[in-house]
Amino acid sequence: MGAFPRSWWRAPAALRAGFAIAAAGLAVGGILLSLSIGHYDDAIDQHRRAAQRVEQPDELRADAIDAADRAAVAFLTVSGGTSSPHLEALLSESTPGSRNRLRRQAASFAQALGPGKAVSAGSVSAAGLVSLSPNEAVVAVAAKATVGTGRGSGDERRDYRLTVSLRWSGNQWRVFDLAFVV
Amino acid sequence: MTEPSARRPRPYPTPAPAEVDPPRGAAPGWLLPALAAFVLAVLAVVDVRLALVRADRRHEAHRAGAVGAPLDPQPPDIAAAQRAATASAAQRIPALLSYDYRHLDDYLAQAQTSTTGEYRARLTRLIRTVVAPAAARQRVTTKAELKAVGVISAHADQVQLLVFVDQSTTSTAARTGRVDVGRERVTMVRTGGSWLVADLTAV
Repeated sequence: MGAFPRSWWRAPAALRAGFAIAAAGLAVGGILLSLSIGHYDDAIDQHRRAAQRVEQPDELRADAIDAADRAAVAFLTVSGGTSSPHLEALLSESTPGSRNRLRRQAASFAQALGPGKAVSAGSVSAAGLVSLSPNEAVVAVAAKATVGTGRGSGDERRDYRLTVSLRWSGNQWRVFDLAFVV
Repeated sequence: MTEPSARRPRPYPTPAPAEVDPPRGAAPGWLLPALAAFVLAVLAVVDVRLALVRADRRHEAHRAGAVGAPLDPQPPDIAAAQRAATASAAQRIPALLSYDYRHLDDYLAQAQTSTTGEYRARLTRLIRTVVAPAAARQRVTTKAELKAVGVISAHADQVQLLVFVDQSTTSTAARTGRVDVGRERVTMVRTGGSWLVADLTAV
């Protein structure tokens, strides 16, 4: 008791409670502030990594175009009316929020191949970088697909124009969106 | 006779003024100092982290420039070339792929000013021998619209682009109109102070 002046204990109980509550509030506020600074610190780390990537421009550009190429091929490759293992791999490497949408798009593409067309083999003719920032890239992809029945007859070539949007996450470019340019 | 002291009431005994116990049910005395120490410790940690983060941020901003803005991850001359070539192509390619059978001379002149090198000679021949006669005969009007431009490769004096373009065409053969979707690989080269089309190939 000696740590406190007697006047503390003579103070009204409400006043003492108020002090205690204020102290607790300060403590909680400090903890919250510390946590928020932790998040801010993470953001700074992301910026630092982005800056490091900017210092390797050719690699950054090549990686983005390569990721978009793989995405286009995986998307346009269909076997037996179902998506290919390429697509499953691509979906597992896409941003979490985009997986369901990409899966639906791929299913629509497979259905739109046309009656009797169950196989599509995609390939890329050319790709160019539309835009690039440390954490996002958009790539234009001119792709083609050989579409057929799977029995080797009646194959036809179809041309596609795509834009593939990428986000940098987990130390790699991940597909965020894929759209046909119509 | 009684002694006066025996008659006087004894003074009421008062406790020694040593300590005043806190009222029953009050918080223990160590609580507030502990809280105060805790708050001070938390604030000190926050201060230190804040100082570190700020120093780190200043360092990164100084080192990386405006991180977060669209970046030009090339040497300045190549980045400038890329921007200029893309801007020039965005203007010249739609014009190069648009013509009206009533103004074919204007079209030829404009095509020649937008192109360079061997491609200009080739395009001039193509327009004179194929495009213009067919356009006049079938009353062709075509208008091109740029859909997307991507940079395939960039150098200080040459930039290769992938261009998506739609061509809306009307003619005596297609009175209601027809839309062709194009995918062109375009080579832009710096000639004098301008970026001109040095090649255009469908992909």
